[in-house]
Order: sequence, then C-alpha cells, then structure tokens
Amino acid sequence: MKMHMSLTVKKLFIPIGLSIAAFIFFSTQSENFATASNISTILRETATPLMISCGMCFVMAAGYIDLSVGAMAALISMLASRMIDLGLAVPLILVLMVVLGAVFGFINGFLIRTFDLHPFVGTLAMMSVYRGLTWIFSYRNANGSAYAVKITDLTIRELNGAMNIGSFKIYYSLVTALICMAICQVVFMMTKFGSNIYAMGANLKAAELTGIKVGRVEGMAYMCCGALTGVCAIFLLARSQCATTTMGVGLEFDAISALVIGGASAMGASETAGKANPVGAALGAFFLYLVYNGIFKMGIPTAYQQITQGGVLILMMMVDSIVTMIRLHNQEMKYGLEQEKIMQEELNNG
Amino acid sequence: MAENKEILLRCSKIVKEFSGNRVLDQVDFDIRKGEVHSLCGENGAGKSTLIKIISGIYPKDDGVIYINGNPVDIHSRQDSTANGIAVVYQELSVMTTLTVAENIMAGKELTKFGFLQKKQMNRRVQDLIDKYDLGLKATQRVAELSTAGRQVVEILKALITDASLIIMDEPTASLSYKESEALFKIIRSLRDNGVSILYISHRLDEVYMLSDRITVLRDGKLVGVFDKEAEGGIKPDEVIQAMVGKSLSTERQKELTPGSGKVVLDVRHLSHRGYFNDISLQVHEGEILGIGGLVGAGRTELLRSIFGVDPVTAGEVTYLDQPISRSIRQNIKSGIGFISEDRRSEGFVPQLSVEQNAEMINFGAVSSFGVLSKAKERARAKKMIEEVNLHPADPKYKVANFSGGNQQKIVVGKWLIHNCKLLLIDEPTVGVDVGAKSEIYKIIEDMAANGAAVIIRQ
Repeated sequence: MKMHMSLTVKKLFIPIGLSIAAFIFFSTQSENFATASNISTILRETATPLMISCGMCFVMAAGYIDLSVGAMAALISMLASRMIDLGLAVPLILVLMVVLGAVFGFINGFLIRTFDLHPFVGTLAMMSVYRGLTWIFSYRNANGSAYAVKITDLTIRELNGAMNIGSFKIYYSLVTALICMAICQVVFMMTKFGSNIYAMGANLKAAELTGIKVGRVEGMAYMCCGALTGVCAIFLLARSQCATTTMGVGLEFDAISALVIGGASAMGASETAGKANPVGAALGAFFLYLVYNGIFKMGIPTAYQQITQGGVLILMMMVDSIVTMIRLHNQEMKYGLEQEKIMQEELNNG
Repeated sequence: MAENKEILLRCSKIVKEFSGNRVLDQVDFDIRKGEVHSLCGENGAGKSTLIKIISGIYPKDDGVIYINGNPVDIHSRQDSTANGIAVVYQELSVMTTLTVAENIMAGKELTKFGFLQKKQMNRRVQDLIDKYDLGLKATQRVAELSTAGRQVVEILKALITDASLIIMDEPTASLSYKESEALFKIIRSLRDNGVSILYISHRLDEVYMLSDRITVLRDGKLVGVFDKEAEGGIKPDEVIQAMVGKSLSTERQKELTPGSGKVVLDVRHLSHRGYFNDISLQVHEGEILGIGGLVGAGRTELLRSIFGVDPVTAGEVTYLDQPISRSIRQNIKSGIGFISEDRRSEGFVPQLSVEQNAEMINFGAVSSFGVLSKAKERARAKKMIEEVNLHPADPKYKVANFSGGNQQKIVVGKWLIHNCKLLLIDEPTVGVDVGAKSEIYKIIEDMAANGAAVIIRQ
C-alpha cells in the first residue's frame, strides 16, 4: 500500500529540516551551543510562545487572527499581580487568569462577529486597549510613571522551576506547553469543533451553508485563544516575578511566525499551505528560538534575529505562492490542450 | 417512466414583484418524482426568481408551493433543505483544503463521546459515491479535483441531506464537453434512483437531450410545458418559439447592409488555445458586426483577445492597416473601445461619480499639464449625459445609485464621447430593462452611423 501523507504532515518536515540545519550550523560556530543546559534553555524559551501559538491556532485555522494576545498577556499578569496584593489564594488566581483570558478572547470574538470588524484591525485596536489598561492597573510613582513591583506572594515562583535529569532541565513551563499542544492537537484532529474550524478557514460561506454555526465557532476559537494566553501569562509572571507594562511585546508575532513556519497559511487556508496545527507550531517555535539562541551565542547583534524571523516568514509564504502559481499554470495548460484537442476532433468530424 | 408520474413539487399561481415590476405572474409549475425537468426562457424571463423562491432565498408575494401534495412554507434555505430541496449553484462553494468526506459531512459530523467518527463518515460518503457511481474517493482532497469533480462534491452535499429535488443552475457553464458528458451520466443515474432534477441551462441541446419535460417561461409567465412522453416528443422549434414568442417578429430589425467603407479591423486566423480557433473577420467603417453562438463558444474570449485583455496564441490582427497593439492602454489611445459583459465588476467604479467614471479612459482630455481640470471634467460629463439621455442627469451622482440601464448608458457613453473608431461590445444589455435596451441600441447605431466600426456579441 502506498503511504499517503497529507500536505500538512509534509509541511512539518520544513521546520524539522530547518532546525536540524540551524542546529548543526550553530554547533560548529559556538562551543557552548550544543550543551544540555543550553538546549534546556532553548526549550524553555520555546514554551511560552508555544502556548500562545496553540491558542492562535484556533483563530488562524478558522481564517481569523488575534494580534492582541501579547498585550492581553500583560494585562492578565498585571491584574494577577493586583489580585496577589489583595491576598487572594494563588490557586484561585491561576484559575482566574485563565478565565480572564477567555473573557478577553470572548470580547475580541464578539466585537469582530457582531460588528463585522476586520479581524486584523479589530484585534490591533484591542491590542492598544489592553496595553493601555495594563498601564492603568500598573504601579506608578508620584510622577505617574509605571515601575515594576515584585509580586508579594512568591509561591507562584514555584512554577518557574524545573525537573533535573542530569544537567538537562525540563521546565514546568515546557511540560505545560506540551500538554496544551497535545490537547489542542486532539481537539483539531478528533472533534467536531476542530473540524468545523478547519471548514470555516477553508471557505466561510460554504461552512455557513452546511449548517455550521459559524458565529459560535468563531467565538469559541477566540475564547480558546484567550484562555491559552491566560496560561501563558501565568508562566510569564512566574518567570519575571513582576508584572510590567511592556510584558509580552511581540508575542503575537512569535506565535504567528511559529504557526506559519509550522506550515500554516498566513490567513485561513490555502490549497498549498497546510492546515494550522499545534504540532507544527511547536516545531516552528523551536526553530525560531534555536536561531535566536544561536545568534546570541555567536555574539551577533540581535537585530539579525529580527531579520531572520521576518525573512523565514517571507520565505514560507513565497514557497506557498510559487507552488500555487505553478499549479495554476499547469492546470491552465492542461485545460487548454484538452479543449484544443476536442475542437480539432470536431473539425475533423465536420 | 410511467410509474413515476407522481408529483413531487407543485407551484400554484406564484406571483413575485420587484418594486412594482411583475417578474412572476401566476406561474403554475410542477415537478414529478424522478424526472429531469428543465426550466427554459430568455434572460429576464423569471427562471432564477422562480428557483430562488423554491429554495427559500426570496419570499413569494402570492401563491402556494405543495410538496407531496401538502402545502409548505419555505422562508429560508433551512426550510427548503428540510423539505428535501437542494441547490447546486453555478459558483461552487466547496472547501478546497478539506477532503471530499470532510466537505460533505461538514456541519453533520458523526461523533461518539465527543470524538469524530472519521472512519464511519468516510465510509458513509464512500457508500453514497458508490451508490450513484460518481467515481470519487472520500479521502481525496478537493484541491486535487477538477471543476467537474468539485461539482460532484456539491451534488453529494445535496444527496447527503436526502434531497428529493436537486436544482442545478447552469451546471455545465464552466465544464468542458467531456466533463459535461460525465455530469449528464450522473444526472441520469440520480433520476433512475428517484431523485428529481430541476435543470437550468442556456445550452438548449443539453436541455433536449436530458429533459423528461421542459417548462418555458417568458416575461414572468408560463408559456408552455413540453413532455417527452407526449405525441411526437419535444420539438426544439416549438420550445424556441415559446421562449422567444412573438416579440421576435415585432422587434425592430436593422437592415443588413455590409459596410463599404474602409476596413477598420482585420482579424486573420486568430486563435487563443483552448478558447477559440482560427477566426477570421473584417469590420468596415460604419458597420455593426454581430457575433453569435452558444455560451462557451468563445465569443467573449475573442473580443477580449482582440482588445488585448487576453493573450493570442496564433494569427494576427490589424487595426487601420497597422498591427494591433497588445497593450490595452495603447489601444484605447488609438480609438478602440471595449465594453465588458460584466458591467458590475469590469464596467465602472460604482463608488465614483458619473464624471469621474467618464474621465477614466482619457484623463488627458480633462486635464491641463497632468492636473485635473474640474471644469473640463464637468463639461465632458455633461456632454455625455446629454448624448445618452441619462437619468438622473447629475454628473456628481455616484454610479452605484443608477439603475442597471442607466449604468450601462454610462458605460457606453464614456466610449461615445471618446470618439471610438472601433467599439468591441460584449453583450451590452445584461440586466437592462426593455426601454433602456432600445435606447442603448440606438446609441450604438448612431455611433456606427458616424463612422465607427462596431463588433457586438449578443
């Protein structure tokens, strides 16, 4: 039996290949790159954007986007810091952070659905709103400028720890991220919700005509995205030990990059891009942070990180466009030749 | 099939008016179980309105629809689906990145403990495909299918809902001849399995070949039902007579006088691979040349290739003794005009005013040293409005707010004031009411009388 591999699975080999190539390259360039502790660090760095990526996956697979996640994470962290000041129990705060995320996600989805906002601009606006709210809830001195305050209850710091296997560390954040990834992957592959999301991303109008409640699915997708942003905010707060107004800047871009490098189309679905999927996002995020780390270890200016990230994104999209162009061209040629043959036959038959 | 005379759907005295215009007038219409029933009529006869009423997109103003003898209320697509009516539209709405089974089962997923039953769903779809011998695989990605294959997916979507009536609106419009043949086989197979098909097509040869019965509408009225079982079967002449009616003989006809002036356009052995082959024609000054043929015969494509929108693969075209340019911009400059059949998306910019649309093809005429002159623009637009008798005669009015007929007058008028020497017209009267139609013809005739050469596709 011929082994059939879906396009989405095939696309996973791109980040895997890129990662292996980057790994070999940086290993030869820097002595302390391919060490157990450094790899632990890379994996740890991958964890938080991966959580957001998993959430973003719901939104992007359905053909939408959420640019507000970074600011949302900052706002949730800030509110959590205030809740700690109020003396709420830490476990309750953790739950509330996820719930808050879901609520913010619901607001995003509600606005976009009800007023038919463009998802890109709508969530860009919400990004600004959440970032502004973060400042309002922040700690400020007499001059009115915000400053970082270490959180008063330090039990949350426990979450920043790791399990040690020799000199290799498995951080709790990574474990959580992988659990999130696994759950989301199952949701996408094996539930009605997941398949409805893919259907919407493929053709919203057609999905609506088949009786899928597109409004509800869209709202749920944004809520999942928000909830996972809440989970991410927990680990961001645990790591930095303080909530700041600039937390999570650029997280949305990392999350989107990870998905696209993992094979997703930049907007909804295209015939040549794969479906947005959490496993692809994990591989994409791993590649990104591998490169970040390598560039850092080589002592090259960090500006090159930005160039690499942008460049790889453009490259992935170019691959999709070129494949689409070739395919269209071939189809047209084939159709044209067929028609010509038919016409010729008709001519011959009089 | 004698045993299938039972009536599935019956429309009784359906009336529909759009802003006082009666588009359906007391139409009685019925479809039997397991028959292919074609609906025929010219553009504007009311075919699509009737389909839209049956499928719940438009509400009817009067009349009753019966299914299996019971009166039903159809107010939405959900209602029509619940009553076993499914529509396969000309524009396909498939999800190309998903598999055939995922497309068909979308919104109707089978689950167990919240998890998808992928195997069962694939099997169910495959069973359906095999039952009607449709030649697809349930696990295939729709992106890999041709247009014909995608159409089969649409038909499957209808079958999965246990539709007893499938409405097909111009299903062969974008299919090749071979693909059409395959579709006809499917249609017959559906019919033999007791599914009724309401078939709409401009290709009359298909209609005669497939239909058990043909209903003809004209100007919103039912003018005839033709039955294959009836004595002598269906006579194509009679159907066409019914479709066109008396209006054919009463319609103003232009005397055919081949132009004797200078040759404006000379097309020799022109081909565009896959669309048309080896076309030669000549148009003289003051001549109107009509191009006839069925949908898909390549008429539109010929005009587009001459104008430079589409490429040519062989042959040559000379315009006023010079080889024609392949650049649209150059062609407009040298006095060639082109009117697309798709007025809405290719004819004008709806958000802009009459004067802005009129100026678009020749900015030079309304500007001084590259700077727009409002006065010149206004004057030019006013001249055009006067010549084409536009209502309302306001140059600042947005084109989107005009009626179809007046929009088309703007489209024609902008070439009129450009003083075209050659005008290529691709069906100038789509969705234009009768009054405006004759006015537009008059404008075109006047242009020819003033020495322009015109090629018109009707």
